Amino acid sequence: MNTFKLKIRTPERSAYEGDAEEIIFSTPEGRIGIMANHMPIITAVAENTVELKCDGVMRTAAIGQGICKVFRNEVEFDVSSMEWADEIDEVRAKEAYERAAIRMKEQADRLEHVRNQASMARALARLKAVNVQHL
Amino acid sequence: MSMNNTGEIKARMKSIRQTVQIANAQKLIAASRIGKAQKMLADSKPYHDNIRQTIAELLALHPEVLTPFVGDNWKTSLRPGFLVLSSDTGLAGGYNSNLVKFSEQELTANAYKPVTVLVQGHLGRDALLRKGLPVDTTKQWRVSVPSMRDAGEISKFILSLFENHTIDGFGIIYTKYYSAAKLEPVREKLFPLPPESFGDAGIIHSDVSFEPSPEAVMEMLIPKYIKGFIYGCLIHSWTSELASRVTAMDNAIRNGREMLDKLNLAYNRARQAAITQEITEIVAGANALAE
Repeated sequence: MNTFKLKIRTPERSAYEGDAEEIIFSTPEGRIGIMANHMPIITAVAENTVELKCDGVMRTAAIGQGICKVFRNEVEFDVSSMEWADEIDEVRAKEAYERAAIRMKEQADRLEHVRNQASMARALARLKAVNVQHL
Repeated sequence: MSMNNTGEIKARMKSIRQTVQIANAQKLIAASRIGKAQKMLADSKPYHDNIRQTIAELLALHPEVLTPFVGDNWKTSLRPGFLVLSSDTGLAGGYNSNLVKFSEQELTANAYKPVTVLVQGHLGRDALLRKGLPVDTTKQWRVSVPSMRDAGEISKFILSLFENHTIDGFGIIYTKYYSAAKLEPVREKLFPLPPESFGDAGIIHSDVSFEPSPEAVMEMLIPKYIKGFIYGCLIHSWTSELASRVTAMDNAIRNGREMLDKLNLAYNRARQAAITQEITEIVAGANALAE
């Protein structure tokens, strides 16, 4: 199977560097998949799970917001965070989700609302990544 | 030094020895943290460089994309906010006083007048308040090992000031770390920034498409850029504080050792004088008996 070069970088570390066969992730407009020799694009990346196929094995991770650049069979992600499913603390993610849900009900000002939405999305992405792995 | 009493000199030497020990411990702690801070800076560099470069590419391909964060240079009509990065702890030589002097100059001598000044670290905050600058005392960020989390909190607050139109520009004053021997307070503009400041776009792939739209990608990039910029400043300032502390403690240790040498000499002299006097007295006494 054709492969492409994949780099996933976060502010704290270079989270992944190597060849991959396929990567599926979310943009603000929905999920997309990228395979080898994709046309060049720069796209916004939304907080959600990513599925990464490499040597025929599918791995799941949760990633934060950021961008993805595709040029000449090289795919670069610059995202605020990335954790493999087995690195995620499920209990913590669940608590964060519940906290955000409670705050959401209290309905503060607009900025507060946007922040709550963001932390909810972060928690949800982590929970999803953990659960996909268990399926 | 009018110390002829050996006991007095001994007590003084003991106290200096303790001071030197404290200075030494401070120095070792600071020195070990510098390496860690520099690794953090290096680790975050590829991410931030790419964010900045993507903004450059986007601006080169789509100059029509409007964002209030990119634009003309600072006009006199600007109402900027400022962030000053100082420290919470002393024992760092001239680190804070240099920064405060520089900040006062920067914040009063220019055509634009700051509408709000945010300060990290209470030493800088107290000093700038006394100078009568519009310091926001409700935001008391503490200085600790820099993290993306801190940078995120600060950048969120700055963006909220921008959103409710309190400010229309932002600058950061911090101590830049060039090398252990060269630390300098600098003022850098965070926004609005001239498009050139994002650097060379490099090879432009004109067939690249921005999804969902160039505007949406720009909207995603700007907060990341601001957060990353602040993170870099936090690390620079943290490293400078540590380096400044190492130098200050080195001086303290050297001065302490010099003083110990002098006191040691004085102690020996006093001891000798006491012995000589005792011998003189004994001899005088013996002579008196013999007579």
